[in-house]
This record gives sequence, C-alpha cells and structure tokens, in this order.
Amino acid sequence: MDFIRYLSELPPVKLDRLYESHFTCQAVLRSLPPIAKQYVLRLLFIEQPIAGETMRGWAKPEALGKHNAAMERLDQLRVLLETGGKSGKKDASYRLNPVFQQQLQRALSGAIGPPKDPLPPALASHKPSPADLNAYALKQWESLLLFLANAGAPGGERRGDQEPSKMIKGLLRRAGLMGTSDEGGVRISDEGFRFLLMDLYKQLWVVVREYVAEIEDQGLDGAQVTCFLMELGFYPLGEPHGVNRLSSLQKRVVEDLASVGLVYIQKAGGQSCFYPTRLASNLSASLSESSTWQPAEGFIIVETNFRTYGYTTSPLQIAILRLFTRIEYVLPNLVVGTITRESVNTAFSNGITADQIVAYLQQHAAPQIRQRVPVVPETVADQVRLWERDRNRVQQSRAVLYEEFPSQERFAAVVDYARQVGALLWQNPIERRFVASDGRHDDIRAFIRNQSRT
Amino acid sequence: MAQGTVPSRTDDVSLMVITLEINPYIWDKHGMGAAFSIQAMVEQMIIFVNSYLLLHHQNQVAIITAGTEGCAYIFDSAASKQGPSNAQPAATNGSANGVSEEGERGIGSILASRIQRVVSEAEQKWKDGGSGGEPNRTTYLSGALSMALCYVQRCLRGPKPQPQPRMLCIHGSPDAPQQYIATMNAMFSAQKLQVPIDVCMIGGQDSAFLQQAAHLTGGLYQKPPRPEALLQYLLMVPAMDLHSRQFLLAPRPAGVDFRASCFCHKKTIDLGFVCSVCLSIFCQFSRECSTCGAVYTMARPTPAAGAKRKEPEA
Repeated sequence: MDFIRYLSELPPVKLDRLYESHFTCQAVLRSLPPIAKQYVLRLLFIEQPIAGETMRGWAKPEALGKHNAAMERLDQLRVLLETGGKSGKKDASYRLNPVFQQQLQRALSGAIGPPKDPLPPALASHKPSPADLNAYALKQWESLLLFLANAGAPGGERRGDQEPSKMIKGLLRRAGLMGTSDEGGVRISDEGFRFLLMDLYKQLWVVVREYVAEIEDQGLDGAQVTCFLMELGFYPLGEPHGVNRLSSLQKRVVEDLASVGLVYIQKAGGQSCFYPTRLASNLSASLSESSTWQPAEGFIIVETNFRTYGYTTSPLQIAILRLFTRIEYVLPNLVVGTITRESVNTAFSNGITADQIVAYLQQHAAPQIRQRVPVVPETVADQVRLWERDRNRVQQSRAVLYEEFPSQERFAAVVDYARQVGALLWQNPIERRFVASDGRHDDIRAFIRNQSRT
Repeated sequence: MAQGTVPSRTDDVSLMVITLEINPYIWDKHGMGAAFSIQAMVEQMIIFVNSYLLLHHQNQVAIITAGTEGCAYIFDSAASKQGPSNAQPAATNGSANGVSEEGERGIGSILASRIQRVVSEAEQKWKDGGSGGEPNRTTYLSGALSMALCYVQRCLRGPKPQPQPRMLCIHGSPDAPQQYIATMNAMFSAQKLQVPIDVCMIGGQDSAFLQQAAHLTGGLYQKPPRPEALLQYLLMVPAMDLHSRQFLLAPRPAGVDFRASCFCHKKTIDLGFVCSVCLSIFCQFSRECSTCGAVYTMARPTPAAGAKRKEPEA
C-alpha cells in the first residue's frame, strides 16, 4: 500500500493536480480496497451528491467496519468529497471528486488510450523483443538489489559486474536502506535487509517515492513526475515511444529510470525512443494487502526438516537466501541450505523479522508445493517464530553496582533505603555488594553521601 | 433445490464470462423499441468491460454472443495478453503478470466492431429468413451457457492459480421451452463448478430459467425497470466481485419461478407426471417413459396411481 500512503500524505492541492491525469485516476482506483473500488464504480456516472445514509445502506450491517474503512480511505485520497449537509458524520452527503470522475469517465469510455508513436526507421530494425526488455529490466533491478545485498555480506565482496549509478546509490541512502560503515564503505541498514525481503511492488514504490522526493527537493515539479510514472504503468508493453514529445523533465526521468530498469532506451542515428518494461507496468498493478494472488514463479521448497532447496541461478536470490539460511551446496541450478538457529539469529540481528522470513518463503514457494496447506511447513514457521521470541525473552536495562561499603551497618542502611524506593535488584551481604536500577542512582548516591557525612 | 453457495474469496480477482443477447427480434421495433438500441447497449457494455478490467490487472473477461443463428466467442481479454507474455521468462520476485498489453488500448474499438459484425450478420439472416417461412425467434441461451462453461473449464484446467470464474447473462428474450433440458443441465454444471451466474434481464418479462440459474448457483438476478440505464445496473450489481459480496448487500430476488417444462411437449407446467425411474417430467400420462424406456406396470391404468404427481415447489 505504499502508493496509497504516499498519495494520502500529499496536500489536497497537489492531489487535485495529480487527478488531472486520467492515468493517475486509474492507478488510484486500482489500488483502492475492494469495497472502495465498488463504491467508486457505483458513483461513477452519478452527478448528484449521495447521502451518507444511503451509502451506509450498501454495506451489510455486520460489515460496517469495512465500510467505514473504505469511506475513510476515499476521503483521505479526496476521491470522495463531502458536499452539502452539515459536516457532522450523520447527514453528510458525498459525491466523487469532479475532476477524478471526469477523467475516469473519459478513460473508461475508451476514447483515449496511451499515445502511440511510429518507430523511427533508424531504430526499426533493432526493435527489442519482449524477452529482451524483460531480461534488461531483470538485470537492472537485480543489480540494484544485489548491490544492496552484497553491501551487507561480510567482507563486502563485489560479485556484480557493474556498480549501480551514483543516482541510485543516492536514492538507496536517502531511503535509509544504506548507511556508511565504520571503515567508510557502504553498509546495508536494518531497513535495507527488510527491503530485500519485500515483494517487488513494495520495493518499487520505496524507490519511486524516494525518487519523486529527490526531484522535489531539487525544486522541480514532483506532480508531473508522478503523473508520468503512472502513465508509464498503463503503456502497452513492448511498444516504442518517442522521446521527442516529452518535456525536458520527463526526458530526465526516462534517463534516470532506465538505470533502474523501468524503461529501456534505444538510441541510433541521433534518434531515440524508450520502451516501458514489465517493471513499469507493475507500478499500476493492484496488489492489495489482502491479496493471496501470487504469480507462479517461485523457486523455494522448504521441507519439514528445515532443509531449503532453491532452484535458482540468480546470485540475488542466493544472496537473499543466504540472509537467513546456512547454505550447504551450490549446484549449477540449485542451492541447498538449512534454516538453523544461528542463521536465523543472524537475520534477526540484521533487523529481519520472523514473519518476513516466513512470508518470503511462502511468496517464493515453488509451484510444486504451492498447493500444499500451509505452504511453509508448520514446524518450520513455528520454530522460526519461536527463535525470534527467544531473543526477546531477555530484556536489558541499566543498573548500578554498589560495593566497598566500610561497614555492615552502613551497607544494611543503604540496602534498606534502596529497597524502600523500590530500586533494589540483588544483594550479597557477605561481600557487601548490591545492585540497584539506574533510575534511582541519584537518590541512592545522595543517601550514601548523607550517611557518610554523619 | 438448495440455494447455491459461493466459495468465499480473499482477493477480488475474477474471470467473467459474459453472454450477450443479440437476438434481432428483441432489439427490433417489436421488442425494445427506440428506447434502447443495440448500439447504445454495445457502448454501455464497452464502458462496463473497461471498468471491470480496470478494477484489477488480473481480471479477465470473455464475451459470447447469443443470437437466433447461434453463439460466438467475440472477445477474450486473455487472448490479447497471452501471446507475448508466455514467451517470456518470469520477471524477478513478486508479480510478473503485467497489465494486459492490448487490453487497455483497444477494447472499445475491437469490441464495437466485432459485436457490430455479428449483429449485422444476424439481422441480415433474420431479414432473409423473414420472407420465407417462420423465422426462428428464440435465442440460443443453452448454447451460450454451454460455451461459457466450456471456456470456464478450459481456464480451470490451465496453469494455476486461477481467478475465480463467474458468469453474467445479459438476456432479453422469453424462455424457449424446447431448450429446457439443455439449459437446466448447463445450470447444474455451473453449480457443480461453483460458478455463480449473474443475470441482468433487459427484456420485458422475467425468465424462469435464468431465475433458477441465479438461485442455484448463488448468483444475482435483476430485471432493471429501465433497461436503457443498463450500465448503472451493471456497475451496481454484477460488477461486485465475490470478495466484496461478503460485505455488500445485493438486491433481493422477488421470487423464483420454479416451474418446470415437460419433456414431451416442452410446455411450462405447474402439475405433471414424473417418471419414478429417471425423474423425467411429462404433461400427459403414458405407459412408457420416453426418456429411459421404463414401463409402468399398474393394477389399474389410472394416472393418479401409476405415476407420481409432481409437487409444485414454492
């Protein structure tokens, strides 16, 4: 839900400007919760305000919570506007944001589609196939993730054949995914480890959001960039688009995004055009949190004995598996590892949570075990969670050790005082030592001073 | 007849198969009249299909026309998507299933031209047929339902996971009793496959067949009082995915006409004779069942004693 959260944090003026592009409207509709989508459809061709009471009647009485959540979301995004009536919750009436409504109607009537540009003849002979585009997008995105993953690997060995551009490194640092290590090199942060285990959609939005923020910090028009990104999401795949009709800002965005793999730029004979890749179309994908719908492309098989098989050749996926498994064999198309207490603990200390590990294994389960319920064996999932809870069993808090008391009486008096203020944690009268919590240290010190004076 | 239950879903992805009435007799002056032309219907359908596909990038839609001359697949949103994407290796982790490439672009024009072609062919044939003999005025509802089910079956056997299939019948012509058996069989198959059949009646009268279909499969039946506002009705009710239906209220059916048609003369009957072996329904008593060939042996050849009376269901 990163996209929605990003939009709902925008000030109303900016949001209204974004809705002037029908691509944004479509993307917003797609990323709404299911009921909210239905509400928008119902109101799409209704110009008059609808009473809040009527809308409440749409939901089943037992689903009022869902209804309120949907209404709140629509309100936050300024898709639904309150009109007339008192602004009290009871008798308010609503209508769709007129700009949003108009743009969506236009888009749905099929009158407008994404622009199509004729391919310049100089480039026509080298038109990349969809497979080429896909491979390119995959390579660029994986190199970004791999760079991040390797930054966390001990020794920091660089296996990637290319370093990401300076801009990407800046973005990663901006997003708090990377920090500077003690030796001055780059280091992956806890946030970065969590980022690696997110699904693609969320990862994309983290990067895109930072990118837009970066653009805005430079005093450029962030809204235009957001609209353009939405637009890219709805472009047909594998179709070329001329760079010439873009504004200078959009041109810059295309260049920048090419290094992440969102678009592919083809240049020949002074002319250039760009192709949105599969990653770009993910920007408009509607992956709600409730969605259990995952594409069948997993590669991991987890057995009840904690053995993990990953049928993959991608160094990135191996690097991610390495985050929380002990890799035992690496074969040409298979890595075999075991989830051990030590390997999982390393992951925990990197800020990864047990739920993330289980979710990752689940999302990337191989098609053969996808039908199994549950996908990740219960023993494994439970054990990983137990290990996490193990770590949280011991809590640390600061304490002070007092010793070398001159006499038993003094010691007893101070211990008594410490007990009275509720700070005493441990005492050993024979060695005249005791431990009290740090919070009362000042009081206890004052008491000891007073005592020694008398 | 137990009312159908629909499996609850945690996501709102679905595959919708729409059967579209293009019977020229219904759309002609005799039927709908000038209030709602087939062109207006096609325009509204395009908006509906567009909005449905926009709801989720994995939503799929297929459209089948049902006319007097037969049925035809005219649109399949998956077909335009499958070509290039199957050839490609999967993208990185997460979703690789992109937006339908062609879908977004040209659904409007593709759909309009295809429907127009089928409609004009049907109209032509109807006019030609009108000169000689009695033209066929009944729509092949059973055919359209069967084709829709075949499509669903094909998808169910395809690569997993699949979207939840459902059907939407936009229907206008009166029930054709001669299609009773085939239609009922299609309904029972849909019930078994857990495919809800939503119905939107645009004709003048209710359809007992489709009322039963919606009832059996757990779908929603509605007969808009103003067919020209079809789009709004479609956006209100059949647009609801199965996930949202758990939370949103649906219009209550006024009542379901459960009357059956007899197997011998295809008449709709309240009371009739039911074969004790194969449960075939007849409006007249006979000594032998024409469906299963069972011979009724009776002490007295009175109808009341020999064959069971079918109880009218409420």
